Amino acid sequence: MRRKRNKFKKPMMNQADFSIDTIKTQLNHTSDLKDREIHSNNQIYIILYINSLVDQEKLESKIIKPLTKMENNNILNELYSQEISTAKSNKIAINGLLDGYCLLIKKGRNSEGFLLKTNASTDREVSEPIIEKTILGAKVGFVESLDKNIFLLRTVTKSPGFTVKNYTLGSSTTTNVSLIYLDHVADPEIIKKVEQRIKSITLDSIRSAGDIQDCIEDHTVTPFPQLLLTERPDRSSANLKDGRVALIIDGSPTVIILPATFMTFFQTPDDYITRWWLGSFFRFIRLFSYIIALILPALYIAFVSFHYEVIPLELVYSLQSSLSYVPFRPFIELMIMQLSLELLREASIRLPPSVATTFGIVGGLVVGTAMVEAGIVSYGGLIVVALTSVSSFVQPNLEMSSSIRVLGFPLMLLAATFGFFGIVIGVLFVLIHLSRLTSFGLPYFSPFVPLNMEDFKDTILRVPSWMMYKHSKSSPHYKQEKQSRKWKLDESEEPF
Amino acid sequence: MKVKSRFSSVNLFIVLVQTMIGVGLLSLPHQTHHAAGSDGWISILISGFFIQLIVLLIWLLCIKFPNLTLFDFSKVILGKTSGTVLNFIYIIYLLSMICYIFIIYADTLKRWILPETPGWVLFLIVFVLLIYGSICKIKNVISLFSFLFIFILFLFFITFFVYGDQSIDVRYLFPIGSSGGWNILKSTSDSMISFIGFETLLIYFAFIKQSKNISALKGAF
Repeated sequence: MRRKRNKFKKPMMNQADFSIDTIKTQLNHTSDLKDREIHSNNQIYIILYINSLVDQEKLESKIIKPLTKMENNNILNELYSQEISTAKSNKIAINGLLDGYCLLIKKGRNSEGFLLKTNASTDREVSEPIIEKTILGAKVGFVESLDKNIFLLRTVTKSPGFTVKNYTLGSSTTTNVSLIYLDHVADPEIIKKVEQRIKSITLDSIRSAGDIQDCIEDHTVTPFPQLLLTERPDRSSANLKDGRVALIIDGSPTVIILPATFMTFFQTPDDYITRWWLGSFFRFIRLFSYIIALILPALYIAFVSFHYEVIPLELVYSLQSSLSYVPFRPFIELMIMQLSLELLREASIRLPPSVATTFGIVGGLVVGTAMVEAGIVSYGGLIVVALTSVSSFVQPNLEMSSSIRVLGFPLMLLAATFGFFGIVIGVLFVLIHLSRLTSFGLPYFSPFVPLNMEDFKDTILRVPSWMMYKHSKSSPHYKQEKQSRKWKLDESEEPF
Repeated sequence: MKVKSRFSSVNLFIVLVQTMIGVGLLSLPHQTHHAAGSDGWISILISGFFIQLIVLLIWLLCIKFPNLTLFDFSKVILGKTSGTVLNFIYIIYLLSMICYIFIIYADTLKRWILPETPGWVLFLIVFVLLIYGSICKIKNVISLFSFLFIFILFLFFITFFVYGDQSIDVRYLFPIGSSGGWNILKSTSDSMISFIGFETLLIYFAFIKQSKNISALKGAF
């Protein structure tokens, strides 16, 4: 709303139909709503503002002071505010007040109201992102302020196509949301879809990015995230350049990137900074670890309870000697281990970092070893659970790695009931599910289903950037020259 | 009813391979050997020839009715009543094929992996999977098939391993024709069952991009 009003550079001076009393009543005579009368140049002005939202200093120096010294009555020319607009109705005036504007009313036959920007900002300093760390990437993370986040994005995405569209969501309390895309790259179909979905949100209030995510994602009954939540400007910017759309929510340091497909969650900014074969290798490791984390517990259960004939004989003996002391079935054994690991994980989130290290050693090492020696779990089970959790930590995206936890337990159950056959059925089920998912109309499991070899270049592989001349299906307008590297190794020079 | 979605002839090829390679292939050597002895390979070749013939006939039939599936053009050819009867028979045939595949599947699983599991559990599991997989757009089914085709390619690697075996000798095929022509022909019908699936072409053909008729035929072969 705020930004939309900026379009009126010359506000229309029509008669406003608001009164101070109505505004005060509508704001319930809240104590921090202050008004002040100023006489200047034979004219009475009333300034109305919410004390807690307004920067006192700005109000004093930029509005009140010039107002008292005013020679003529042209407010638009005399006051030094970033944004001045006329308030045409009570509703606009109240919304402005709640955004930290102060309302200047010129008393007279025709009461005129102006909204002047004097909002106080409590932005914290831009700091390094905590969850999505990189080795060589930028050390900048998003903050809680909408304007600052847009600034962070714009500084790394310099383009005239950079488009910002603002929405105010929520019916009882309002939240400002900005939709950002590169106009010459993004698919207009997707933008239309996103806009339509955002406009149709009629939630009472927006608490976080999760509320918006719930309202705009294609499929609700699925463990797979269809929107990428990130706290990194460089990652968002790279996605914008690929033709995706970013959603910034005021008050939230996480930015929503959409549409996200399965492989989007395995990309990190580091892939593009390191050399291509290293980036490809990391991607492969991540994908591999995803599969491992998903099916390793199930495989273990199938091995030790059904198909011990497929593991080497020596391993059978050592596994069996450890398993014979365990009174539980392998499934129960792994469940105990997984559950205690989940407890450890949940507990360590809220601990201060200095305690967390000690806690990890006590919880992980001591309890783990003691559990094996007490005969509650076997060595094999401990190794499998440890490997699984390590693989799930490899995932660069938190939500994608939590999909492993949701899918892992049913797979373990299937493996405990049917062995290998159960795993096959379970994995097939997941595959069918993945192939049915869409993200804003795009196939979710994209380079695999439907099979598209061209898109492998930036999904499971990360080919050198001059070879990526045709990007994924999500950006039909994005075209790079076929050979962007305009030189060749000098072949005329003889090696000898 | 005209179909709207389209897929290429490569996809048709992939879908047909996936429909044909199935549980029937596992029982193929046993069945042909049962009837024709060491001459089973001849009957497989013959059945392959027949299949090509039938596919040609289906192709000639289907190009006359672009964008229409069997369920629509049968009514055009045979009239409303007998067309509906034919469609009904076709559906019954497909259902009985599913039953046949289910029976072989359960039999194989019971023999090799899960001897003690009751049959209805196995049926239930695969039935749920089948229904979940088939309640979606044909586009999704085709794209899933094209992904799973990668795994079919692994079968070729297995074939290479088999040929590395020392005990394989071409001379075991001799004497050719020892089991008699009649037995070979009889086992042809057995081996046809494991190649079943090509008759779904009657439906799939409507979805092919019509601009390339020849390439559609290529895909079918």
